[in-house]
Amino acid sequence: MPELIVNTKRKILRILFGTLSFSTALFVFQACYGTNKDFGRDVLIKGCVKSKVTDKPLAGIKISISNMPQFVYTDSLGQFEMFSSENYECKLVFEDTVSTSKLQPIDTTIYIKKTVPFLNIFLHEK
Amino acid sequence: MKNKLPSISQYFHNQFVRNETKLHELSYLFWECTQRCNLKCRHCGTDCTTNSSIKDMPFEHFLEAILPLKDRYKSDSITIVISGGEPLLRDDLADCGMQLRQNGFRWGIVTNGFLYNYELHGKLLAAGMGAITLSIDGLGESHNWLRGNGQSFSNAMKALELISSTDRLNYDVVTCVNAKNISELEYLKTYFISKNVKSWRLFTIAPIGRAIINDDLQLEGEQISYLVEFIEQTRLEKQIDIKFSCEAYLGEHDRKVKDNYFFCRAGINIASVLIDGSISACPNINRHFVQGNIYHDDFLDVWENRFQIMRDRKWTKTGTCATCKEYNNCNGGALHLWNEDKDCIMKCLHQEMQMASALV
Repeated sequence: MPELIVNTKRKILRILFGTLSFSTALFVFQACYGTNKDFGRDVLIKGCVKSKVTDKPLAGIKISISNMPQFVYTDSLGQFEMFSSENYECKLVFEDTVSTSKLQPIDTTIYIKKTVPFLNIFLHEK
Repeated sequence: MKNKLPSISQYFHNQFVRNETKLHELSYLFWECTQRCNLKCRHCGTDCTTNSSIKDMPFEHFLEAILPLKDRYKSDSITIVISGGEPLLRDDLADCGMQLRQNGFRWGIVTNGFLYNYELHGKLLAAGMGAITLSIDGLGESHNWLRGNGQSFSNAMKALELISSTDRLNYDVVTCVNAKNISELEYLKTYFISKNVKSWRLFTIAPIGRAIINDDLQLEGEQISYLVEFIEQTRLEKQIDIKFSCEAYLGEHDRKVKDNYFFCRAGINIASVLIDGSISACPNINRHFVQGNIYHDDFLDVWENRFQIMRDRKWTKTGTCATCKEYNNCNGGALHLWNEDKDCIMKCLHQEMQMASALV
């Protein structure tokens, strides 16, 4: 019998036997010395930070979420990626953390659903 | 009829186990990313040290080995558990995690929490960490004693504050119950409830690694019975999600202290890539059970076509298991309790509870 049919049969049996054994956590298990399963209740936020004056990408800009611990820095292309909880309205803060910076920090509020559009952010000079 | 229900459900569970073994879908993958550790725990299963002679595995080696899994499975159905040693000792942990998420995998860490702080918490969350297991083995002194560091309890508490305040994380606290901390369980329960801990998992200490030398850590029959009763009672109170780990078959107590009947999924749904590239199941399983190595084998091929010793466990019907009437329910217990001689399970909690009960 082709493997696909055999496996389909076994997957049906899995549900049948699992249900009849009255177990509550058959399909979501945890190894003895491991973590819980992660259900990925977060969304990837991507974007690019540039200078409003030069239109060039800015590296090393800190992106954080107001009142939350998450933060990342932009790479050499001014790009960043970070995860945040889904179904959540958050204020993203963009700032150059170098003390002598002449760039004005800005923030923007976004509502995070299943996906977030690519963010293009421009920082002004102070 | 009521009395027959457990045996009927156990029967179907056993069928489920057989079916699951034939399917052997990988859904849980350990990565032993380092053997370095900043603590010196008396019960360490892998005998880790601060200055491990084995270098950390470069992340790209691990990623390259597991990428073919994406063609075989939905990658978000696989949780990658980064363990050690202590994974927080790796400076590139957040980068590793981000790359795993970029490739569709979910990931989490098992940590002693010693280095966990607000900044690291933020970095790891931003990199898509979704699960974390934190070890807390007693109140202050007993935790520090087991972990071999006077600061470990206070640091673990700080880690707990951060972790428990983050809804995003699917976390739990684990406690290795031993002769020194078993009297503190009630206090720990009260403390964890006050800290809004969602989930608490309790272990006994397996006689492997450094715990072989420190044999005063092992619980005896009556203590095991007390531990099981404690978990049963706490589950009835419904104030905290508490469970016994999946480390052992407990007979009639199984369903009262866990969400499910006993099922050791090592090599059936669980694999690991160990520090030297070895491919095995759970990292605490005796290294004689290694099935291949990512540096000269194809990981997916090894998973699909080897692991027979873990998927056909008839060989475990030996020693004390040979005459056990409940063998069909546990198939030789947890695989990490077998050593390379394969002649007898090192510890059977069910048997020890029965012996203690007979003595009473």
